Amino acid sequence: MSYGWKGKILRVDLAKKEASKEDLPEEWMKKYIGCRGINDIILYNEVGPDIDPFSPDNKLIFGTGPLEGTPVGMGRVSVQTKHPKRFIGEGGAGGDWAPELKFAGYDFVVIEKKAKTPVYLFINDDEVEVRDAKELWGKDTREKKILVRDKTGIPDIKVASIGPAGERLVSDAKVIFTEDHAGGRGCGTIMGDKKLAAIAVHGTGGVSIKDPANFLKAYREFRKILDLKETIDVFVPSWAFFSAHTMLQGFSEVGQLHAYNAQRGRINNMLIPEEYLTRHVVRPETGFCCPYPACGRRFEIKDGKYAGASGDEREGGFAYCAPIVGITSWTTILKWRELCSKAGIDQFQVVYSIAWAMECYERGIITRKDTDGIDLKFGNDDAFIQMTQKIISRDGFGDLLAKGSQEAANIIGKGSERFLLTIKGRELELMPQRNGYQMALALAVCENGPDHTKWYPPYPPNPRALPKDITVPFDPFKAFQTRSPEDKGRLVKWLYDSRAVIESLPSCVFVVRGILGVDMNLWLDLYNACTGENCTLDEFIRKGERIVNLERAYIVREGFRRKDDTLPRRMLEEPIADTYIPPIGKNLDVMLDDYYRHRGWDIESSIPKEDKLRELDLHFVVDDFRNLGIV
Amino acid sequence: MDTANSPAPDRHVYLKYCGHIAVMTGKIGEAISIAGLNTISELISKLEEKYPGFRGVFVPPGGVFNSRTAIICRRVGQVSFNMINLEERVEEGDILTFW
Repeated sequence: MSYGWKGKILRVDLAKKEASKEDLPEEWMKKYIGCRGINDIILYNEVGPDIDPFSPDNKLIFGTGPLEGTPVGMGRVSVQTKHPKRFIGEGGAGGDWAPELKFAGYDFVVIEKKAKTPVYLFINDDEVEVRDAKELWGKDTREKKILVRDKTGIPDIKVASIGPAGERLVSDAKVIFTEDHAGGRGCGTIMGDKKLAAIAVHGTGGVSIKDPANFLKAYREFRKILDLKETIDVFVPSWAFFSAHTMLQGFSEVGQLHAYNAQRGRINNMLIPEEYLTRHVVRPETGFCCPYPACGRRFEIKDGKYAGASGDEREGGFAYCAPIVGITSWTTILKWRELCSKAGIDQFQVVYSIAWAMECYERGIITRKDTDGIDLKFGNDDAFIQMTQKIISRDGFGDLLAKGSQEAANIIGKGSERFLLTIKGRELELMPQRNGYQMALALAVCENGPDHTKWYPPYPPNPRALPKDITVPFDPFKAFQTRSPEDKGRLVKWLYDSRAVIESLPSCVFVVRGILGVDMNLWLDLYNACTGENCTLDEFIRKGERIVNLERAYIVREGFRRKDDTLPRRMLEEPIADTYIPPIGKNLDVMLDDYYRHRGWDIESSIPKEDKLRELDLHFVVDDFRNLGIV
Repeated sequence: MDTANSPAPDRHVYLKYCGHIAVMTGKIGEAISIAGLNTISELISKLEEKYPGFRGVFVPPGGVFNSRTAIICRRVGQVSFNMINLEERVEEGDILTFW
């Protein structure tokens, strides 16, 4: 038997309503680790450049990995597809859906073709069935979960579903896993296109570990690193005890909020985290075996016009969205969180699209006539909520924003594209750029739009606190100088390769704190003890590098090149008005050259070179590139 | 007006406290005089008198200053910066965020 793995892929043909099981190739386990890495190879092999994202031949893949079902897996699932904008649509999510899939006996689920009418997939150990979902269609994600539980009669069944946004093909709709864990920007859109309302899973098995004693020893060390007293990471107290919202203040002070569509780095009357914690939080609410009780919280609004709104909130992401549109009210932003979660819509698409429209409105590019009479000014709470509802329902001006701000700018014109905050056509995900050059570079080169989880966290621990026996393939002191382009190529390469390993095990990048982000030995110990592999550290990191190169090969095959590895014009050309922070300018090109050089990619085109691909045992990519005339 | 014999004007900084630091201080911000103080080390010592245990959080015994904490300084006319040196000067009007 394969330790850690179940060794099975479940393939489901929605058109025929048939499911089949196949063995997971051992070569894939060794070369791509699992989860995101194996999703990559399935997508690369089966969804080529000739396949339109909305074709029945596009696939939707849900993947777990060898460490899923153990405490290290933390409930992480990777969901992947060809995104409507043709790059890789991939995202991880937590919760408890992924371990349940393992317990049911499967590592991966590959969804193929399209159903004629709405369906949901029912998995109960060996019992797999594509069932009618007419009653579910049109319902929000919470209603779907309850309906599925009622229909199956299994109260603790785990449900992954789309909401109305996915059903209506909003461009970056997500999949919602169990308690408001969202993942896979654009994957919900393709799931909606396939008329797959939900995947319900119930499993009664477990996961076998090859060397439990050593696994437990490594896990104890893992938890020790995350302990407040032992940590060398400023983020641990925030994440572990007081919620990521506490960092709002710090981020505001360094001017790295995208306030008012990133025209400013700070906002007056900012949300006060203590108000949130004391007035709205009901209890901690984390995913499977998550060691950070403060990362997820259940909130309820008890009074006011949004009384009764509730939900789960994670990582502080929603609070960081508030300054983008000038919102200073907790109840507004929490109501908005509820709306997004129930609709299965991507909060980043919504907030940056509305912020872009707000700036266009205040500059007179669009008027009340365009916005269906809504006074779309920054800081207008009601307008923000109303426009979000319009995007979800694809009503009027909301239908335009539902296509994404890039497409909306193409339609509106009049210079509105000047104010877009998009990369590769997709809206940003909060991360600063003008005062964090490592983040600017990492966002520019990301293979699935500006996805921050592929290289997160971006900070090395305080370099002066780094234990002397840890060596890293970059200069930690230069890496810590966040507004210098120096040595960022090596740092970002390391971030991408190491996080590709962690996401493929899988584990959650938000616990990658302290030395866990720079010393991969402990992750290797966990992997070897779980699977029985005898992998070396070099081989381990090489697997991550292989995953990143395969992802780059995928988007190269789709036509993406160096010109697409760029940043919003505002970041390149404008200073942050209230912070004295200059624009990035030509520093991006300096960093791109450095990054491609360290990657072994062609500097002019960003295409991986043949010798690098062969070194990584990606010979089939070389053949593909030749056959397609790419090189 | 004769100013030669006037006492030196009092200097102030504004302090903000985040998360677990706010729990220690019981407040999220305050203005404080830095008369007679020149460095962040001296300011931390002054805060230790008000909030016992404060110094140990930012300068752990045997550890590195701000290895698990941060002090962000916003100063007029400059880009905000992290204080990583205990001898870093504090100046009139600084906004210091203890995180």
